Order: sequence, then C-alpha cells, then structure tokens
Amino acid sequence: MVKTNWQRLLTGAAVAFALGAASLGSQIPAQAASPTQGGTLSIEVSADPVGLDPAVTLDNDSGYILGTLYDGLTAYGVGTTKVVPGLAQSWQITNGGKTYTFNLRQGVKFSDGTPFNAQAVAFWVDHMINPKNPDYYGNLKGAETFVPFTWGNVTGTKVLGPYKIAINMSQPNGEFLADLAMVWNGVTSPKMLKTYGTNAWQHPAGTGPFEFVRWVKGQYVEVKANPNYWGGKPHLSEILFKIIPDQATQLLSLKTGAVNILTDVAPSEIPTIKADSGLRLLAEAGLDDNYISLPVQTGPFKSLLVRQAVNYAVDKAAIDKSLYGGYAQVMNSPLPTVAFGYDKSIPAYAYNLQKAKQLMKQAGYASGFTFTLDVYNNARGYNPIGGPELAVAIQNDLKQIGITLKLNVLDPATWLGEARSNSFNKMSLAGWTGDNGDPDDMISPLFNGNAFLTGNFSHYSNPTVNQDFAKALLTSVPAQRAAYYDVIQKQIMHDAPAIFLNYTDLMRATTSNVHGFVPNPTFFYVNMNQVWLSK
Amino acid sequence: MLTYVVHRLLWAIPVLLGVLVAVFIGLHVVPGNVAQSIAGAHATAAQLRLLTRQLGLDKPLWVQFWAYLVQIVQGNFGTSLQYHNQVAQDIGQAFPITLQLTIAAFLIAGVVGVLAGVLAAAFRNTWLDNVIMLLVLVGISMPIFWTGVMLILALGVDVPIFPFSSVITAGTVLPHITGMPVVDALLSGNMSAAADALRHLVLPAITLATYPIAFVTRMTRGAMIEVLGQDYLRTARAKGLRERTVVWKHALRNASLPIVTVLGVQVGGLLSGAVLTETIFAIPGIGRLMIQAILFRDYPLVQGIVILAASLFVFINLLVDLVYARLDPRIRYS
Repeated sequence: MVKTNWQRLLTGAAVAFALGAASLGSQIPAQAASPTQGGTLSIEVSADPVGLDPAVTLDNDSGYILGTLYDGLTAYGVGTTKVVPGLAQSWQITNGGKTYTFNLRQGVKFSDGTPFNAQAVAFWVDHMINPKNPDYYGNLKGAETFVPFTWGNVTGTKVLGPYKIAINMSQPNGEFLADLAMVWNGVTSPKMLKTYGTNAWQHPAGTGPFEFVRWVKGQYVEVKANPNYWGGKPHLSEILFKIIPDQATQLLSLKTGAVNILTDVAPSEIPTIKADSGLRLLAEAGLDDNYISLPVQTGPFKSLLVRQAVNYAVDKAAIDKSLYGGYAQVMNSPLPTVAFGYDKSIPAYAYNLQKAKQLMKQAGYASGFTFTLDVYNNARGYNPIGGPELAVAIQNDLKQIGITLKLNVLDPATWLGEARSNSFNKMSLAGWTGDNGDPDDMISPLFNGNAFLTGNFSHYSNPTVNQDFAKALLTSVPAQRAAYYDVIQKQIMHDAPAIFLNYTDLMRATTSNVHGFVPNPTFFYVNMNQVWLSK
Repeated sequence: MLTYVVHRLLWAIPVLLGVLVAVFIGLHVVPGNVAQSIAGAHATAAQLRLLTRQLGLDKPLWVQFWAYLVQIVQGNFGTSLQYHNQVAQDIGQAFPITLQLTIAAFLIAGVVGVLAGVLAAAFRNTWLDNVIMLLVLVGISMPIFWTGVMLILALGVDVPIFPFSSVITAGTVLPHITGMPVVDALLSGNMSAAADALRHLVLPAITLATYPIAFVTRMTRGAMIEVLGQDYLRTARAKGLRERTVVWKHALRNASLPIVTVLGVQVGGLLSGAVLTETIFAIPGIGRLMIQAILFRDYPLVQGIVILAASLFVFINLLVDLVYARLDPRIRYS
C-alpha cells in the first residue's frame, strides 16, 4: 500500500522519537549499585585461631578475625598501609619523639558495653607494660605476642582528660604509629581483661565493626555486626570464618559458594578461578620479600662478586611468569613497593648469564662449586607455591654458572630453628611478610647486624647500614626516615647478601556477589564494615 | 575370664609407658624449637631464652619426662603450648568427632565388606565374583586423598547432594552431650540437625571406609572359600538345608574368626586414615589435631593423643580376643 504523507510523517516521528529516547537513555548515567543490607559472609581460614586477645596472639588465623573485632588508636587506609586516624582522631609528637599525645574519639563503646576513653586506654597500655598489673599480659605463660615489639620502649601513660592521653617512651620509636594500626594492637576492653584474666583470649571485646558471637573449635568463628560502629554500621549481618585446612577443599568450597572469600590462594588455582565467571580474583602488590639468603661470612659467598653473580644468574622474570603466574614482581629493593620509603629507581639485578659467568671467573670460581640450600617444605605467605618448587628452579638456574645446589628440604619448625643460629652457614630460602608497612619492620629483622637470630640468616652486617637503621628508628620525622632508608636499601642491593627474587602479590578470591572488599597489604581483614553481598 | 582381662590390662601399663618414652624422645630429638614457633619471627634471643625457661624446656630430658609422668599419674595431661587449653579438654572435644567418623566407616566397611566377601565366595568364579574382585583391587589401590576429592567433586560440587566440609552447618548450636554431632542432635530431639550432621558424615565415612571395605571383602572371601569346602557343610546340604542357611548360618559363623581379626586390625587403620580424611573434609577430629600439634612441636598435646591412641589399641586388641572366645567355644582364656 502506498503510504500517504501523514503516514510517512508519523513513521518518521516514531523513528525519531525512538532514536531520541535511545540517545537520551545512553546519556543517563547508570545507577551505581547501592549496598544491600544484611547477609552472612563466609571467609575461609586454614586453621583455628590460637586466641582472640590481640596482646597474646600473633598467628595469621587469629589476626584475620582480630581485624574485624578490634580497632587500634591508628588504622590503615583502605587498601594501603598509610597510617590514618583510628580510635585516636589526632595526635601530637613532642619531647624529641618520646611523647605521643592522642585525642581520642568520643561516644565509642566496647562490645561489652564498657565506654572507650582515656582511662580505658591507660589500663590497656598498663596491662602490657606493667608486670605488677594483676592482668598483665605475660601472666599467660608461653603466649605468642607482639607486645615487646610495640611497647618495649614505653614507660607509661598520663591521662590528660577524659579523651586525651599521653604515651611516654624512653627513646623515640619512628614506627610507633604504624605499630598501633596493626591488628595485634587492637584496644581491648578493661572489663574483658579484669573479668577473664588469662582466659581473656576466649572472650574478646573490642570496638570493631563486628562483635564476637561464638568459636566452635575446629569448625568456625562467628562474629556479628556492631550496629553502633563509629566508622559506619556494617552492611553485613555477620561473618563466619570457616576453618578448612585442605587446599583442594578450600577451592571447591569457594566454587560452590560455601565460602565467599578464599584467604589462601595458590598460584596453581588461578586459572581455575579466572575461568569461572562466578568467581573473582583480587591481586594487590604484596607487603613481602621472597629471596634466598647467602651466608656472607663464610665460604664462596664471602665474595661480593659471587653474590652479585648468583643474582645475575637467576632468571627472576621467567620464574615470576612460570611459577607465580605473573603475580609477582622482580625485587629491585629489599623494601616492597607498598612499603613506606620504597625507591623504585633502584635497578634490579636483571638476568644476564654472561655477566654472571664473568663475575664468577673474576672471583676465582670459574668452575663453580657445590653448596647446600635449606628449603622449607610448605607454602608461606610470601611464597605461595611452596619451597621445593622454587628451590628446583633456583637449582637449575645456578647450574648454568657451575653451582651445584644440594637441596635440604625441612619442615618449617626445623628449617627456622636451623636458620636462626649463630653458626648457620648455608644458603636458605627466606622471606618476610611485613606487619605494619614500616621499613624498619620490613628489613631490619632481615639485614640488620643485630638480627642474626631473627631473620638475618645471611649474617650480613654492614656497620654503616646498622647505624642508619638505628638512626632511622630514632626519628619520627617521615622525610628524615625516608632519607635513611633510601641509603639503606641501595647499600643492601649493592652488597647483595641475598638473591633478591620477587615480591609476590597478595591474592584473594571471592564469589562474584561480594562487593566493597579491598584486600589490605598487611593481609588482614580490616575495613570489613564496607563489604556487602548482592543477592 | 576375669583374671585374663585383668592380666591383659595390667600388661597394658608397660606397653603404654614404652610408647610414651619412645614418643617423648622422638619429639625432643627432632630438630625444631617450640619456643621459636610460639615466640614468632620478631622474638629476640633473650625473649626466646625466657620462653624456653618458662616452658621448662631448658631442663634435662629425663627431668622433663619424670615431671610429665608425675603429672599424668595425677590425671593432669598438661596444657597445650599452642592453644593454652588443658590437653584433656582439647582431646575431649576432638576425639568424639573422630569416633563418630570411625564408627560410621567401620559399620560401612563391616557390612559391605562381609556381604561382598560372602557373595564373592558363594558365587566363586562367576561374573559377580570377578566384578567384586575388580572393585576390591580398585579400592585397595586408590589413595584416600584421591577418593575423597573425587567424591567431593562428584557428589558435592558437580551434583551437590552432600556437603563436604565440617561436621554440621555453621551456626547450628548443639548441646555437648557425647561430642558426636549426630548423636547429640538425636539425643536433644533436633531431627533436622541430626539429618544435617548425617549428611555431613556420608562422604567422609565412605572415603574412610573404601580401603577397609576392599580388605575385608578379600579376607572374607578367602575365609569363606576355605570353610565352604568342608565336609560338615556337605552334610548340611545333604540334610536338605537351603544354600542360604548353609552359607549365612553355618559357613559364615565358622569363617568369622579371621574376619573378626581383620576388622579389629582395620580399626587401627581407620584411626590413622582419619588423619587424611579429617584434613580433606575439614573435620575437627583427633587426626587433624595431631598433625597441627606435631608441626607446632606442641609436646603435651602430642603426648596426650599418643596415650589415647595406644590405649585404644590395647583396648581393641583385648576386645577382639574376647569376641574370639564368644565365637569359638573351644577358646578358653585363663
């Protein structure tokens, strides 16, 4: 049928209208999904916590839960180790760095109803530094603890007002504010400590976004939302930390939705996770070092040339790609990229077999030598693929320059016990996961001359570096500290007391209905009040 | 008989003592410092020394062992170095869960194994016998961790019929009566929780029972074949008894002695196999607790579990002997 003019006009108008409507619709910004309230988030952990009192625990499985129950005087920014206000809204540092005066948040309560105030903080500090306090943390014999690390220099407190308190120390501690943000320095309720004494670790009461409900040993820990949380009421109703030790079962639990967040992600699981549209892989730069310590005081590794040669001989980029799935970055500094003071301009030891052989020849080891490498037999936070697999790769690379490595595979307790002795003179797989983002915490235990029995398996001791470590810790001025650590990290890279391998990424996997979750470089579950589940 | 039982129980004491000495020495000579495990990476040498002193680990071995023996005699098995609980409490919580799993696996292995073995013997050299023997070979060859993961994939993930982690759905609260979730749920009248706990038990029990089923089947078949050829059974058939009665009532009874022995031995295997099963299925039993304790060098907890395991073996061996006497009137103990 022939269309009349009116019909053509109407058709044209309809088309124009449709086109206009479509274009208008595309200009309206998509509504951001708003958080759904309620729901239970399940998080996998691989073992029971040891305890839920921050002062008497330091294992990771406890730490994951502590991050939801407690706050510190300071906190870490979302997804960073940058120190921001926590239970203290502001602070002043005076007296040459020996006095910290905190202005505390008001209107906050512990989960047992006790008000949070300067008196509560004073009691909390006293129970950690005063052996005469009836609730002294050390009354629990044999407890794991971070207390000396943070509070070793603290001499006492002075309450200056209902919400103002000064903490005094015998000498400055440049990483004190970073320490206070650790999950191990969550402020505990005085009532919790006084009521339960050495059993307080079973009755946690903090000011955190979640409150303790129950701990069924071997099965799960349940925490529920704190509706009055000062940082904003959590979107979730509760979190279940489910204890699942076996790696295969962990992944299958995630795939079926029995857990929503996988804490332990092995590189071998990455392809499976990425192939599943119902799962998400979150990878962030890790606060860790993964390296091989070289005994600098004895044998062939006394020679700087040999130490540098082995650094050039290991193809770290290839190892990162093949063993870690690309989720690791070559080390160019003993400080990881997310640590305060990291210098990205320092060149890494790039793979160069020719240079490595040349250095070996210069050192008088053209035909190589045989040496022993101690290997832990499990996966560790800074090395998720486990010791043996990495050790074989190193063994193969060093074979190219004539070094024959005998692998001595040990269980973790034995490995650590052997390495932490004054007579240790072998190569060892080694590494470190930072606790607070501060450079002293990150590298002093590894390369300070006073740390042979802590983490300095190399027994490396450079007097200038040692002095700079001490000076950097005694100042609380960030720019001054950064300057010291810049010199330190460059010197350590040059002296090569280790084969500097990589920084492995911090990885978590979640089901696709988890939102607002940003992993923190310290590994722990903090800022969980921002997480929500879509239906 | 009573004299015999008392005599056997008295002999258990030196046996347990010997096991305890061996484990104590073994734990302390293995490299690895529990104080180091506790103190963590940041501990200074001075802190380590203090902790070692606090834990009494600086004393000579024989002093430590004697102190431990005195403690045990007073009923105190010490405190877990890792968990700060009384060892008896930790074991008391974990053991019933392993017991529940072991009983379930034992029942499955006993019933299925004996049934399959009898059928294989009764239909010897037929297709049924061949199929059963093939399944026996598969069952003996498959490692527990493989079986477990395959069952999880098949019946927990691909066709999600059964849960495969823990012993009950998280958040379910049961009264602690026996410590066995299925039993406690039934005793408290919570039928839905009992059903839930049973569903959680299916996959791990089947996993744990796989090897014992195969072994019991094989031994039962062998014992039955030997008995089925006996003259008195020919007489029974000649008297007109049905084959079913000949096999199940007469032959099985006389073949039961070696079967009982095998079942008794399998209990030991079930307890050790529980370690892997509990790890795969995230079951908080004694096996998993033992692994964690050994890795941490938690001496009191390891020793406590060893005492329990050794006592169980002694008790089960005695029970097997008593069952012998019940089954065979010719056996008399003095």
